[in-house]
Amino acid sequence: MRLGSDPYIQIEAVRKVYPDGVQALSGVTVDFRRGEVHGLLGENGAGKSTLMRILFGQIKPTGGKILIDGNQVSFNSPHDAISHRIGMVFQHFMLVSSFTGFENIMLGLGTGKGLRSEQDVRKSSENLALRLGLKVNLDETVENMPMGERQRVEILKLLVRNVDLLILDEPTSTLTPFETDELLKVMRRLKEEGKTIIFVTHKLREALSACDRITVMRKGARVDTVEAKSADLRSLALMMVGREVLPEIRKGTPKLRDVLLEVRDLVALSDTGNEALKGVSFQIRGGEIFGIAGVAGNGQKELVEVITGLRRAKSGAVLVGGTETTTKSPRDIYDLGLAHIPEDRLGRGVVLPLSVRDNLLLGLQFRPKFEEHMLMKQGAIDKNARDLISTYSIAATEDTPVRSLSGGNIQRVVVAREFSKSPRIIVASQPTTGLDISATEFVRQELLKMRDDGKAVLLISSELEEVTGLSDTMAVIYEGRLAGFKRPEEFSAEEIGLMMGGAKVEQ
Amino acid sequence: MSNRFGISREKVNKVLQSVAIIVFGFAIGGIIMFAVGYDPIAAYSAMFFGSKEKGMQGAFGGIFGILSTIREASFIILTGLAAQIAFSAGVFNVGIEGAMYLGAFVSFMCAYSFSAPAGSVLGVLGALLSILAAMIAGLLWMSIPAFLKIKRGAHEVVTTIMLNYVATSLTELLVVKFFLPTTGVPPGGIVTPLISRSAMIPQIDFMGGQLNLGFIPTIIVAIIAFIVMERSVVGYSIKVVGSNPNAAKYAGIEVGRIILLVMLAGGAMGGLAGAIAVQFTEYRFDQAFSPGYGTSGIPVALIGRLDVVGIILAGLFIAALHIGAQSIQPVTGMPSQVSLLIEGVIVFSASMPGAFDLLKKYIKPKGEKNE
Repeated sequence: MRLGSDPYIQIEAVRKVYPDGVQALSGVTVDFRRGEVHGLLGENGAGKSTLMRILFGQIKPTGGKILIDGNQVSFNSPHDAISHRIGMVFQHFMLVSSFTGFENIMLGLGTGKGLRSEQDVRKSSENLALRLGLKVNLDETVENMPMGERQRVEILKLLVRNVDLLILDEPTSTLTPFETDELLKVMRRLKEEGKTIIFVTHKLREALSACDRITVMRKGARVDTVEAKSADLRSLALMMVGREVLPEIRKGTPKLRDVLLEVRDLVALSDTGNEALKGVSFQIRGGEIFGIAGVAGNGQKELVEVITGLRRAKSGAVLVGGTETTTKSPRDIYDLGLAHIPEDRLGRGVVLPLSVRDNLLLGLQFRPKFEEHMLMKQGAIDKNARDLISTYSIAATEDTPVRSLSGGNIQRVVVAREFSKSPRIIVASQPTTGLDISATEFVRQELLKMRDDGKAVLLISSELEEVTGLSDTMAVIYEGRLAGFKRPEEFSAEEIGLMMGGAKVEQ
Repeated sequence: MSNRFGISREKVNKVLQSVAIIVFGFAIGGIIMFAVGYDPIAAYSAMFFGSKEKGMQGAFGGIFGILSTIREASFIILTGLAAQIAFSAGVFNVGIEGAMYLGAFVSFMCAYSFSAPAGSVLGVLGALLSILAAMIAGLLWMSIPAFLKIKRGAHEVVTTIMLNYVATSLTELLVVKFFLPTTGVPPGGIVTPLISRSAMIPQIDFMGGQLNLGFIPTIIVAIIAFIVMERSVVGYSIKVVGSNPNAAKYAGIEVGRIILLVMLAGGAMGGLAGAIAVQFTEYRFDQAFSPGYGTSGIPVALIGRLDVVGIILAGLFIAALHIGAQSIQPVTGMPSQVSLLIEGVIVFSASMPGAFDLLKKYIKPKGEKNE
């Protein structure tokens, strides 16, 4: 169990193509050494999680091989991975919240013949916790535990199962700064015990301070693997975002009008009760696209939800066209002329079993154009559907259930519907995620058209080129704070990378 | 894809699917009967057409059979529509039975305590008000699980099942305590005295049989349900809430209000079914009036694939099975347990496609992935 240079795990030319044709990994080769903390750094969609889920046996690679100590292995399930002493802690914990910490650890270990007894497991849990400084109250119910403690239960769960390699997927994303420090300490102790850790993250400083080596990934491929000692924030930032982020100039100068959307010192909590927004302020004028770049999970979701009335702010204000909307309902906010292209297209943007016609009505059902004496105006609704289908080239008929449409066509339905609300303000959240090139181009052109028509557009995307290419002004969000506020062409790639990795926060 | 009658391919497929699975159910039932030594053809023939020699009419073998099937169907179509409106909003309201018992008792109380010359304006008004009171009682009853769900998050399956027991036991207690001392325990079981004549909705002589007019309120409710579900913004909102509550919130629909609405509407419909039992059928409150009308609404709604026309057909179908099954034993000598089993097998298999429709919502669409 010494820190050697012999490869412990070798990943060779691993590819992953999803059934819908999306290539998540394009032949990644990387090795992990025994006893090291290995950082896996990259933006959203870089392929980090996919690679790790392949290593954990959760998804099968399309091609390539995995070797442990030189022997090729093939995992059909996480069970296989665990029996090869590989364990993973997911970003969203896999714990039964009504069970105690100990019950969660026991779960799946059983007490039958040939399995470990409860006393044995409890003893080894307690010993491990004590030795590694994992502060866990084994008899507390998980739902009463703070996030940091839940994570320690997850780690303990794996250690009790004797894993040698721990994969931690964005482990600090749900933690407070204090809890993060604690975790980094635990990681150091685990390393002293001879465990190997793969630390998946997008945070540059954490990667630099906690890791021995760092592999940077971008767009499904490995960029490079470097010794942490010889790396610096700037070089990592540049590797993470690539050099070619300079904006593609394809828009005229904005004709700015009045301020249509204003956010003042907004503070909001996430679902887990952490402060997801820590004082966000900006203004968007008509005729302008304001872009927010950043790695997902840094407060984007909460920001959009507060603006659209789906989440209540803790403090601060949102003004839509000059009217304070902080306590208004989504319906009232739509009536003020706001349209919303939601990030969770399938989960929120459409109703899968309903027809294209019904989906094109979503959010418009109360409008006098479509409703009279509580009854729906079928004629107007049919015409609306036919018109939008042809204007936006949706490849479907009015009656097709949205369930059977492709991702690109579903997004066309959403965009068509939101733009048909004749809005003054458009909030577009990850509007092109998962779309093919032509659908992506279509959505981007439509957003530019809206801008040229004098609407205010808030674009939130973790696709950096999208933000730099479309925005008139942009900022980067990191841990609930915005930084930057410049024209995209005034940023250097390095600067954006540093801000996305949290290495530079200015305002 | 749809012609001018609004019959889409999808609908045709659904009908074919349902018919195929019903045939399958009958086949399984036939195999069971064959296995225990009875002739399935003879049994099914007795079920639907009865037997002249034995004096049984089955479900359709004579006017008596047909009228019984229609009477039975009136109840379960009504409870089926109550289940449909809830299921469409993703609410598993299984408390219609309880609302029906409460409605029946309130209908009886009003129709018993009030008296006017039969056929007078006042009499008709009293009869109608008794029906209305039953509906309000069902509605208020259902507001208990509705508020528990909306305010406290208590799951409606648990609360409504429990409240069903409360309702049946409570009405039984009231009858035993206040009415049996005057009537004594009659051979007919726990029943109250008759309601006043003016509140009785008469049964009509029809081709030698007695036609129960309970089908009239049922048809009225079916028409309203059709308009609400297929033509109104409320029906649209119900479907959106039932398919995707997140999308509903996003579209500015108040999910809590829709849940309240479907539960209260179901309660009112259950109460109406209770009033039909009392004022159209038995003319008294009989503790054993329901062979599970409220719960039968669930398979009716599922077999009818949450579609009003489908539910009417499904209600007739289940009513026919139920009435017809009573003829099997006298005609073929098959034990009634076997015919009940056969009925259960057919209803169970016929409900499957609708049940899977509902389950689909809980299966995530493919293609969702992280990174």
